[in-house]
This record gives sequence, C-alpha cells and structure tokens, in this order.
Amino acid sequence: MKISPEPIVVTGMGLLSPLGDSVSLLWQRLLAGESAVCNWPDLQEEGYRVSKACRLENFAAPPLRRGRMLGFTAALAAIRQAGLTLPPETGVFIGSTLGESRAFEQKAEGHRLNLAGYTVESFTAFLRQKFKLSGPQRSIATACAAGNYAIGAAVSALRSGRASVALAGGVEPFSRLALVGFSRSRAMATDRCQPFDQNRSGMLLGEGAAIFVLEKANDALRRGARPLAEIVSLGLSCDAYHPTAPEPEGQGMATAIRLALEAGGIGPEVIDWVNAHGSGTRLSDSAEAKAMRYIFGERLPAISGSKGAIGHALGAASALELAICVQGLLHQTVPPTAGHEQADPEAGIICTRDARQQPIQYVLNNAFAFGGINSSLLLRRWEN
Amino acid sequence: MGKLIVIESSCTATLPYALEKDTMPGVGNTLEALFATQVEPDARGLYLASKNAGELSALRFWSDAQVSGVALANPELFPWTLANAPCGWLARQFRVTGPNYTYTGSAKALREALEQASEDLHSGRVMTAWVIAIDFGKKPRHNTALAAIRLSLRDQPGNARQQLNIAENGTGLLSAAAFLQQIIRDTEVL
Repeated sequence: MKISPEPIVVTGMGLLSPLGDSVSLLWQRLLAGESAVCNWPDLQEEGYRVSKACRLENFAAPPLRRGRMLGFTAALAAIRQAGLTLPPETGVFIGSTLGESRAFEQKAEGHRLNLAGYTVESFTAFLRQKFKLSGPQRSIATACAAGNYAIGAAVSALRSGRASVALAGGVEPFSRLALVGFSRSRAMATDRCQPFDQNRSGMLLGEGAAIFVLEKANDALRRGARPLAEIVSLGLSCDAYHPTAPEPEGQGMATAIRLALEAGGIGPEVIDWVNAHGSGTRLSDSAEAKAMRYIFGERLPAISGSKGAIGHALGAASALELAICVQGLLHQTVPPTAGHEQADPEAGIICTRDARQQPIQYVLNNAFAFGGINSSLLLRRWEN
Repeated sequence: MGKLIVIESSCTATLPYALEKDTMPGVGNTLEALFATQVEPDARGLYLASKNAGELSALRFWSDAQVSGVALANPELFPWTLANAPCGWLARQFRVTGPNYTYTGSAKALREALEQASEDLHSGRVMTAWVIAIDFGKKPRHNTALAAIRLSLRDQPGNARQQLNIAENGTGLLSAAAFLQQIIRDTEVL
C-alpha cells in the first residue's frame, strides 16, 4: 500500500511582476487581459535589436543588487501573508539563471568586482541573513525552470523533515546579457509574445520575483493559518537532445508531466487546467503542444499562458506563474492568455482568451528551459 | 537498518583553462567510465555544483558585445552564458534524462547537490546519481578542477568504493560533503 505523503501547502505569497507588485494586482490585471509589454527607449538607444520587454517600472534598487532586493521584497510580503514568525531552521530555496546579471555585465565592462558575491547563492544568502535563518538552503541555477525546481526542492526538504518551514521561489533581475543572448539565438519576438498562436515569433524578456511560504498542512492548520493551495508533486526530466532546441516531439516534456501525475497518484483526466510554459517560440510551443496532446489525448484541459502578459522572467517565470496558479485555484478561474488570438492549427492548442470560471481541483504549472530541462509542478485546491 | 548511499565510483582531474564550451569535451572524456551504467536514462540524475559555471562565457560574451555592438554579439557563446549549460552538456553526452540540477555559489553548493541527490535516491526518484563539482579556471594560468562521484542506494555496501552513510534524515551529509570537498581541494592546482 502506498502511503500518501503529508500534504505541503502554500500559506504565503509575495511577488513583484511587470503587471503589479502584489499578487492581487497581478491577478486583477491579468484577468482584465492587460499586457505589460512596452517599448523601452533606453534599450532602443543602447542599440538592442529588441527594445520591447516587460520590466518593473517603479522598483528602485541598487543596480548590482536588484535581484536580491526583488527576492527580499517578495519574501517580506509572503511572510506577512503567512502570518508567521519564521523559525531559525526555516529553509531557503531560490532559483534563478545566473545571479545579478548587471554585476556580470559590469565586470565584463572592466569594473573590479568579485562575482562570487553575485551568484544565485547571493539571493539565498541575503534572505537567510535578513531573516536570521540557518535551515537548509538551495541556490538552483536551472534557467527558465528554476522556480519549479526550487519549489520542488523545498517540498522535498519539508517531507524529509530537514526543514519545518520553507521560503521558496524564483528571482530574476532584468538582464541585458540574457536579452542579447536570447536575441542572438533567435528566440526573441520583436513585437509581442503570442503563446501557441499561429503567428507567434518568440518570447519577450521579463523580470521579477515570487517567493512562497511552504509548510506541512498540519503545522499550518495547527497555528490557525489558511492554506492557499497544496503543492502535490514535481515531475522532472531532461531532453538530453540539444543546447537550445527542445526535443521536437515533446517526449521529454511529456515525461515531466507524466512523472508529476504519477507522483501525485492521479491520472491526466482529473487535470482541470494547465498553465503552459508557452514561451511563444515556434519550437518550444510546438513541442509543448505535442507533449500535452500525448498526455491528455483529445480531452485537453483548459490551457492558458502568461508570458504574453508578463514576459518571460527566466528563473523567476515559473514562480510568478505558480502565484497565478494559486490565484486560479482560490478563485476557481483560469486567466486569459494575452497574445493568443489565432490558434496554430498545427499545434492544436486553443488557449483561454477570456477569464474562465470553472471548477478547478488540479492544475499543472509547466516550465521548460534551454538545455532540455523540463519540469511540471502539480497543485491541488486546498479543501479543509 | 535503512538503506545506505554508497559511492560506486569516483573521479578527479584538472583540465587546462578554457571557456566552458571548450572545457566540457575534456570533462566528458575524463568522466566516461564513471557514466558506464545499465540504469534507465530516466532514473539517472545529474547534480552539478560550481562556483562559476557560466561566468567565463558570460564575461567573454558581454565584453565581445561591447566591441561588436550588442546587436552583433557572437551567438556561439550562448547559451554557455547560462550556468546550467555544462550540466545540459553532460546530460546529452551521457544520456541522462532524469533530474538535471545546477547549483552555483561557494562550497555550500556542493553540499546542496549532495543533499538533493541523497533525497532523490532515498525517495526513489533516481536510481543512480552523479554529483559533480567543477570549478572552471578563471584565468589562463588557472586550471579547471573537477571531482565527481557516482552514488546509488543499497541494502549493503558490497563492493562499493566508499560508504557515505547518508541516512534519509540527512545524517552523514556533512562528512560526505567534506569528502567531496577534499577531493576537489586535492585536485585544485591554482
């Protein structure tokens, strides 16, 4: 007999996104169909091929410490919502791409900097220092899947008893280095991001941070906290196929989804909603569409994507989208997919165009990364 | 007595300074025997810890872009600017289709990698885990230091090279991390 692991729940969320600096504001603007994409004169003047992006307009921080301040600000909001004084043994699990990108850029421009203080670990270390924490820590650099990876590592540590509470999520300051890199690898759109659309031409860069307080459900209930959603399981796989392109049939992506479902002890028929990775690139959306059709067959659940609205925040993307999934579960609503206008008949995925109220018990949050890294996080609505 | 994590095999090396993309073929040659296994690709996991994966390429990419102009930056250095590129390379080289973790930062990153590998072995998510520490040489006079171990879960240590005694609750992790750190210290020739 398989013993179900003790449920792990989200009790606090905090974020900074290009569509708002709180979960409720992001949700409200997402439901209204807004997009944060705009043209940035500074990027245009500096000569970038792509000057459209989704950035945080009103977040002030020292440029070399933008990432860690994003993470810290998001963590404060998450802790406040959780209504918890963090015990010293709280674990910190942070995902990102490289760290403080601006520091890497400045070093390359000739500034004297020791980059050891600007890696992903600097985000984790700052949260541990500010909140006086000494529990387990993970600084995970798995690019665009890093948020899901960090959440999964936190769940694993909570289940194994290594941590009683976890702060987990993803952080990504706006990165010119990534802007140029993705642009030169022809992954960027010039105008807008259109997940699974016939006319999609790529991604647009975003930034932000989303941090969550995770606890065992019993611990949360014992202290009178309100669980917002349950994190059930994480499926991970690697295409082992190509440095940038996904395996075109989506088999690796499908494996990650299948493993999440198997670990959660459920079949694909009970999934109500998939928050797709939906980067808007021709190759990635095509492979993800095949993966979803392989798993779900003709009975596709509701599918939405957020990158047309908030851009692709790389290491923070799946964490920001996890907040959207939790909001969807709380409000029993699938958000619209900004940029999705004409479904690509070849992909065969019709995303939500308007906010859709429907019963949602289970949602999958997909996140895939260059290097063939695939992840799918399974969440369940919390019911007492 | 619970199951034990054992080191089935280990490997260390130093490699000459080069960008990540030029270093990895040498890393692959060095690690080839360590990856000889019959375990299903999906049940294999990679756990890479590095002080500076992606750093050299990111610096070169950006300094070149300042010369060429950002619109004409050398595309060959991307995605090696991403910290996870070396671990992705290893996955392709050795057909590892399970979890693919990259941890960056100080020596703590190594402990994090070991901890996750231990959790994944105990939970049955993977059957074989490779924990790899790689610190890329930062300057032409610096070598790249490489240390790697192949771990599995067993009832008895058998003919394992070394028993790590990492229990499910994490006991023994510190000594395991110290062991791996010692390996990489021994190989560091800076």
